[in-house]
Amino acid sequence: MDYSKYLPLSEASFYMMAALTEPSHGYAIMQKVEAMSGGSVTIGPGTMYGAFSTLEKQKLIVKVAEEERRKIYALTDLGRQVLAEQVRRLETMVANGRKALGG
Amino acid sequence: MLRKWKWWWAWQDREHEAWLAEQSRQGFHLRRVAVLGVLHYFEQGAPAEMAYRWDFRLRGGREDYHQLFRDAGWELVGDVGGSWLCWCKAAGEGQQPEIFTDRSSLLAKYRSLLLVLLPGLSVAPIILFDRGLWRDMLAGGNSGLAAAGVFGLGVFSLALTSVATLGVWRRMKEA
Repeated sequence: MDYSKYLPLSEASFYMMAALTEPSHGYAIMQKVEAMSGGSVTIGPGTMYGAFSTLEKQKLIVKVAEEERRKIYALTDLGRQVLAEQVRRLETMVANGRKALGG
Repeated sequence: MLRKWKWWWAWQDREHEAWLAEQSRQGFHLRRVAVLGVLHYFEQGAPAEMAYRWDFRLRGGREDYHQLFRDAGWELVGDVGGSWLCWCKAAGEGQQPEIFTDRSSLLAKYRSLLLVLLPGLSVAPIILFDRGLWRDMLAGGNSGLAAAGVFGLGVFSLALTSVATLGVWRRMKEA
C-alpha cells in the first residue's frame, strides 16, 4: 500500500499518533508527548485540536469515547501502518545522514 | 473594573496580545471585551507575566475545544462575536506559552479568517459594477441619491475587505 499521501507526518502529528497507541484524551497526550520527548516537544491546544480533526478525517485516529467533554481517541490500524512507515523512512534518513556526516 | 478603549484590526492580533501582556505587567488583567473587542474591562491586581492569544473559530468552537484549552491551563478572558476568542495563561520565566506550536496550524487560523473576508471581497464588486446602479446615480434625483449611497457603501466595503485581506495575508507571510 502507498502511504505517501499521509507522509511526512508533522512533528505534532507524529508524537500524537505515537501517544495514541494507547487511547487517550488531548491533555493526556500533551503530557505523554512532553515526557516522551524529554520536554523538547510541546503541543499547544490550538495545534492539537486542528490535528485531531485532520487525523480523524484521514481515518488515522478514531474517537472511541467521550468523558466530561473530553474526546478520547485511539490509533486506527491504518494509523499504525502510517506511523510504522514514517518510522521506516526516518530510519533511512538517519542512517544516510550519519553516513553523509561521516559519523 | 477599569475600562479602556483601544482600537485594533484583526491582522494586528499579535500586537494586541503584546499590549494585553503589558497591561498585566502593570497589574491590569483582562476580564472581558465588548464592542467588537475594542472596549476592554480590566481587573486590577498584582502585576503578573501573562500570555494572551487570540484564536479565530467560527461559532466559538465546541465543548471539547474549550475543555482542551482549559486542561492545558488556558482561561477564556474575552470573545468577539463568539468567533474571536482571547485565551490567557501565566507565562513562566523566559518562556512564552503558545496555543499554536507549529506553523501550519497558525496558518490555518489566518486561512479561516480569510474565508470570512471572502464574501465581502466578492460582493462589493458586484454592487460596483451594477449597470442599473450607475444609470440611476448619473440620472440624479431620489433614486440617484439612493444609488450613490449604495455605491458609497460598496466602495467602503471593498476598501475595508481589501485592506483586511492584505493585512491577514501579510501576517501569513510572516508566520
